[in-house]
Amino acid sequence: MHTRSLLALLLVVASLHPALVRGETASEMTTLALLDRLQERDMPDVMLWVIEQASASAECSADTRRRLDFLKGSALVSQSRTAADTDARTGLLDQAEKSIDAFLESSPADDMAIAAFTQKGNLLVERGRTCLALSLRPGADAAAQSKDAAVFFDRAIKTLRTAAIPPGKKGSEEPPPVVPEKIETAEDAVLRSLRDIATEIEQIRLPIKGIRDEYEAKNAEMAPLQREVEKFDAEIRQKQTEVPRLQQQLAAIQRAPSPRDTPQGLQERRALAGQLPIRLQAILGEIARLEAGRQKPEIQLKKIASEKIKLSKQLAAAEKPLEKELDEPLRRQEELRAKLLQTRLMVAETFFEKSKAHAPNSDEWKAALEESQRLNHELAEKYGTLGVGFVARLNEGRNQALLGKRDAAIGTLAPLFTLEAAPGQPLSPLGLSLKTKALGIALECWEEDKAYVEVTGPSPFEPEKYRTNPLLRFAMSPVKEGRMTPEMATVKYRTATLLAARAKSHSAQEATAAKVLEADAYKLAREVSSVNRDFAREARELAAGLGKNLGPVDDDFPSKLADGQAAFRAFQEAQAALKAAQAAGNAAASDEAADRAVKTRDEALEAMQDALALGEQDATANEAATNQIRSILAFLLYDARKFAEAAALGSLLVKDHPNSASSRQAARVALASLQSLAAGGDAEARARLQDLAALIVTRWNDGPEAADATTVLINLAIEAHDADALVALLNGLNPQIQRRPELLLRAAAGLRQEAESGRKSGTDTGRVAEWNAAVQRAIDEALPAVEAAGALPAGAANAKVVVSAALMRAQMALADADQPLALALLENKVYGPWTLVSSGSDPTVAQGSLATTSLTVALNAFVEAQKFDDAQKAMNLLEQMAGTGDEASAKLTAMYQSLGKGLQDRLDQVASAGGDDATARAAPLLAGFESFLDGVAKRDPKTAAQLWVATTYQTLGSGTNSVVPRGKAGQYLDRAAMAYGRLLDRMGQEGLAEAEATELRRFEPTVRLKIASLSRERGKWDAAQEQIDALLADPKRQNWLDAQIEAAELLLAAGRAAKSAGDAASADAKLREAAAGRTTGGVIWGWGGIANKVSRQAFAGSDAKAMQARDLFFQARLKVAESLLLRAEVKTDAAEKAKALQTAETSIAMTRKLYPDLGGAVMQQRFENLLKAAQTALGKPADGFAALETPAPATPAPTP
Amino acid sequence: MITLTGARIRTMAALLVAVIGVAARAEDRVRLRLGTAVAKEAQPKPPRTPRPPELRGTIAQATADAITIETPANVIKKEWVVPTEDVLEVFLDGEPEELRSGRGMVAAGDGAGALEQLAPTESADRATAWERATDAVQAERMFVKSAAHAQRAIRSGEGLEPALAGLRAFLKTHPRSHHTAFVHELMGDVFARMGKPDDALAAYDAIATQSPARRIRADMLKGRLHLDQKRFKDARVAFDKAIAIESPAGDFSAFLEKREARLLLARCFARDSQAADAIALARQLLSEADPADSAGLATIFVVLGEAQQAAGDKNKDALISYLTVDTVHNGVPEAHAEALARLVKLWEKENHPERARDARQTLEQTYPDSPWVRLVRKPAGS
Repeated sequence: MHTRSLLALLLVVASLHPALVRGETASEMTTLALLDRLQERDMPDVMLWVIEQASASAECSADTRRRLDFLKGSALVSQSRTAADTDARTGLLDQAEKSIDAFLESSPADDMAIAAFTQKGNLLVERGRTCLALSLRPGADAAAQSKDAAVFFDRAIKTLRTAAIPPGKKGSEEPPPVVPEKIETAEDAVLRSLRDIATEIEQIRLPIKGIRDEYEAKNAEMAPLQREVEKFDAEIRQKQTEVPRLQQQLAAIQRAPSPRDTPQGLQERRALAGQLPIRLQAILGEIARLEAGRQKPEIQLKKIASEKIKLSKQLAAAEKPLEKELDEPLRRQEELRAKLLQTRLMVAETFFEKSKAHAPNSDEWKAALEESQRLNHELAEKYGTLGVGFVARLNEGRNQALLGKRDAAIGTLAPLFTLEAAPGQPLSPLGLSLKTKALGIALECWEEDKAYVEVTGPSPFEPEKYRTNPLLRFAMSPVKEGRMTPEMATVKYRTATLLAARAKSHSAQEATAAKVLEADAYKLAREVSSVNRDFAREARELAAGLGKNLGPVDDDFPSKLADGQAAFRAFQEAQAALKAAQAAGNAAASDEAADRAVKTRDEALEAMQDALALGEQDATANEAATNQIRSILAFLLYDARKFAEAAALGSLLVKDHPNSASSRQAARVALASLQSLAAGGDAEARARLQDLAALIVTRWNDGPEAADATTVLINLAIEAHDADALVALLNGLNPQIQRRPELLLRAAAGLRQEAESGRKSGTDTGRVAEWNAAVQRAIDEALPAVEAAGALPAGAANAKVVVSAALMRAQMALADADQPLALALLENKVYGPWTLVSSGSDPTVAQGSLATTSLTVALNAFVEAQKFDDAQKAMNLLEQMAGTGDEASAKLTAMYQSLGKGLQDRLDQVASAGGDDATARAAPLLAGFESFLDGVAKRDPKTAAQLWVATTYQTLGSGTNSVVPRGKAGQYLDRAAMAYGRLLDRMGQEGLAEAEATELRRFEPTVRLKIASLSRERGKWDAAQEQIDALLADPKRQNWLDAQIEAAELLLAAGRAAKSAGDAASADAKLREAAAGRTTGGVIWGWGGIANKVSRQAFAGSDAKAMQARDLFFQARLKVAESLLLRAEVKTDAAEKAKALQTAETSIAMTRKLYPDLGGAVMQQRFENLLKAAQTALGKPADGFAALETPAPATPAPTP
Repeated sequence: MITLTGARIRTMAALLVAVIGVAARAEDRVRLRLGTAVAKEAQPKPPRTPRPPELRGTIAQATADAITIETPANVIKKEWVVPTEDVLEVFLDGEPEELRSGRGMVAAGDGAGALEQLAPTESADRATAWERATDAVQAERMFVKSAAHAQRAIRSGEGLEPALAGLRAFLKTHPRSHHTAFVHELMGDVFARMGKPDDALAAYDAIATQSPARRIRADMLKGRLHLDQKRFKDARVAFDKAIAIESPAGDFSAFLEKREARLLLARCFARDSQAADAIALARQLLSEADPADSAGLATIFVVLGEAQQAAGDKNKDALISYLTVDTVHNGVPEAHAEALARLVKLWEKENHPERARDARQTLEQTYPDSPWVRLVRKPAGS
């Protein structure tokens, strides 16, 4: 039916040609002719361009514009056939329907209306078929798809069939007298055109009306008689079908009784022997009676026919002068009549299609088939002598067979499968096709009913009669011209099975007959098998059942393609089964399904490779089919992890066959394959990946493959830190590309990173600003699109991209002092990071570092906006996020540091924006934080809260930011120390909950260290020392490197302060301990000790830890030298001073000798400065390191 | 001046039929250009499918400017004087079929094909027949041969001097032939191919007679030469001059020449970075075109395509124009070949390598000798 309906559609469109090409101007005429040619050349995409161009033209007339709507629909239908997937196809068909409806809204009443309604009907049938095809897919919701299919078929019927009841005279070929005034269906449109043409013809024939009426009266007189004769014929045919069966039964009971026959059986046989001849006689008598009854109307018919012939001659003579004028209208009338019948046949066949949407034997299935049968029957009865009538009869018989009415089916089909050619002439192609199809159905019915007699003759077997059976001879005739059609293969195979079944039913006495039948069955099976098409496999099995092996046959492309497609379907089913097993959580079933999937994949791979080899050799092979194989192969190779081969095939399709329906899918496979290879470190694959992605974007810039390719290009640019490439990608992104918002955000995120790192590394500020502007534009375009969609995109990764971008944009807004925008972004209902994290509605973004960053940014924003309740909520959430485990405090500290860093960055941004009022602009920000932090400090004594307050104040106070006044910074440090102090106080309180007490104990060392550090910074040496002593009093903490560093720093700073204050003794003591440490009380290593402790790790490798240790080592060595130098400066005794200076000088020299690098250029400079100071103090020239170089030995003079 | 008597013509025709087997009827025929005043007069009621009308009779006089034919059987007039620019083709009584085919090919610009057609008539056994042919038929033979040689030389760039000599010889022998203007034009083309633009301009100048159509053509050809030399300003001046020449309202030949000049002016705009003007002019020509004039529409659409391509952002529009030539108005070989060649390039640009391949294949198979084939031929091994 598929091919048939397509053909019908093409016929309709082709018939439109003259109607189409009738524009008024050269331009319009040319456009319409061009569209016609483009349809012939199957270039629907270009048709759509032309239609768009023509519709936009001011010169396009309203009539042409109207036609363009219809042609657009046709183009979209054509385009849907090559759509990459079902969704795309469905979308195109929807658009097509809209265009056709737009045309139909203009209430057309001409040929285009017929074509448009027919086109729409076909389109809806296509939609229904698509649903049915989808219902068969593994894992599909078959019931829902079938339901949808039924709806489409119903709509198709409604579009095609007139709602008005045609009261036409039975047997008449004239249009019914009542024609619907409003044209709503294809049938309405044809009927209207028929009425118009009939009126036109009537006008032309007006002068000969009398004679014509007389002629028509004869026709009317003949019609009931004809029906009477036909009725007799039908009854005779029906009776005749019963005769062979009765004869066969009679022959069976007339054979000699067998010893195995039971007495009951023998009794039944005797009874039948009495009844059957009587029944047979009765039927034969009935047939004779009917034939006699037929004679009377037949004689009357002949009489009227002879009168009609005379009238016909008179009519022809009278019409002769009108011939020329009538020629075109009559031709047109015939054409319209054919169209009317085609439309009605389509309606009947749509009911047949509809039956497929229901479960076999269900009420709906029966109803649809019966309606199809009824309509086909009407057509067959009314137009039995026309091609349409024959086709309708075939359809009717097919439906009867499906409904299990096999006897009726045989009766209906008999006139078709007994069709014979006129003597000396071959059967027409249509006749041959109908005969073959009808016989195929009949054979199936006979086989089902074990009614072998029609083909093999009655029993006992008579070879001569058997051989002359016309049906057997038809089936046995070898195919002479062309390839065996599927229908002929059906006839041959069904005949073979019927012969084999009859042979099997024979008793041992009939072995000879069985052999003859089996030999013929084998012959037919071999013929069907050798063609290697329909029923080839079944034929081979049948031959095997007969004890014969047909052996292999030569493969050709179509058969290999079919094998490959079947193998691929098996693989898809195995994959669906695997998915189902995995979803069910059944491990054993999953393993088994996985094995099966691998096995079927390998089989599909092999079959497809065979098919491709043949397809590439065969110049006549369908290019689309060959490309489909390539695409499937690429997918299978990818699944088998043969990435290089998969990439090569996919790339070939992209490069050379971009417009093949399978190429887009293959492009994605090729991309994924090259990505896998590149991920494995294959540099060439990486280069090819870039080239392919660029080519894909050039080839198709709107589909999913273009989006995939763009993602690849973005990722490659990000990896290469190529900000300019990212800007180019953002600027060149097709407005229609799928997933545009996501792509914009991905590229923007990458570009923002580059901009930030550029800002930090001192890249040209103009370029950085340009990059940031591009980021801003991209995010500002993408986020509203996400909001309009009403939900985050599917997939955790995609959702994260959106939320990260919103966060990034909020940070940019805060930097631009656009607080309202920042809050709006953070609190957006769809993508707002604060909304999502605080509500916990989306687990993909409510956890992890993205959530932490979201909360810290939100906290900053809320504080800045003085929304302290929300800020408090953010803080609480941060605490929750840190959890309660052992690592909680570390996590929390990291979060607070990040928060502080964020605040510092904000202050940096205010400062870097410049202007005299930077401090003034920072003031509200600082004030906001102060208020919030003080509030938190007062109302929330919990460890976490106090820690945050202390950390943030410390960050604000320690920063070197110019927008924080020096005095204010000191205050912040004091407030930090107070917050830490409150924690120590709380530690001493009684009645604390055990959990808090434990937590506080865990924080105690850190808190003491922080207080020591803050006190040192504020010059509160005793307070600092108190904390250090408390810390190091515990021997377990004496090896804590951070505490030792702080202790050494404190001693050095306190020593320097004592020196400045003129307290030489104290200074000397502290500086000595700073350099060399102390061993009594709480042990302090001093800088020298620290250097010794870290030296091993510092030079053990080059990993991050080692490098960190190395930095500390050189810092410590430098501070040893510094301490020594300072000590020398407080000495009053010259000798001691000189000694101390020399010690400092030696320390530096030794360090340099052992570690010439000295930790890099900056440290080298600092060492050298100290050295120069020592050299100056010693009264030497301040030559720095140059003084430490040993002169090279003089080169001895050459001896003569 | 060629003066032929009816008796002589009949004798010669009989001889030719007998000797070289031609099947021409014993009369001359002048096929008229459709749309011209004389064609309208000769065919007052044109058939549904218009066909150029013919005047049948005896050519009494032929000059470089007009042909006089006596038509005793004609119901409208017994003698017609037809300006040569209104003549599509002249069929002489008694001329061999090969000569007619060859002349047709020359008219289509296929000199090589014309020479192939004539080749069988050059055999020794046909020499006598030629000797016995009328002066007019012999003149036609000389015309077809010299014009064909010239066209072949222009296409290949070889044998230009002998071709020129042939054309000169024809003009010297038959100074009053109705082909004179065509031969002058060919001479100009040969000079242009030889790189002698001044000589070419002089040759084109020789075409300009009193007839407006001739004068327009002469200026149009000069403009075309300048256009080929990329001297856009000069080309534009020449085209403007051609377009400005006044002609009577019913002078269809002059109208056609002007249309060609306007089309070339549009090409000039397109090549001189004035794509918008080029498109506007081509569209104007399209709006004026006769829907039935497929050949005219072919040339208009080719020019429109070039203008759209020159715009840089109208590749799809250009594709549509060239596809129109390829699929609808494909009866003009030169225009069709150009459209196909340009389609190859545009399809490649538009990511349709398969369609580019098809267009290239059609071009190579349909017009293997066209210079456009060279432009789109794929390098070996690609």
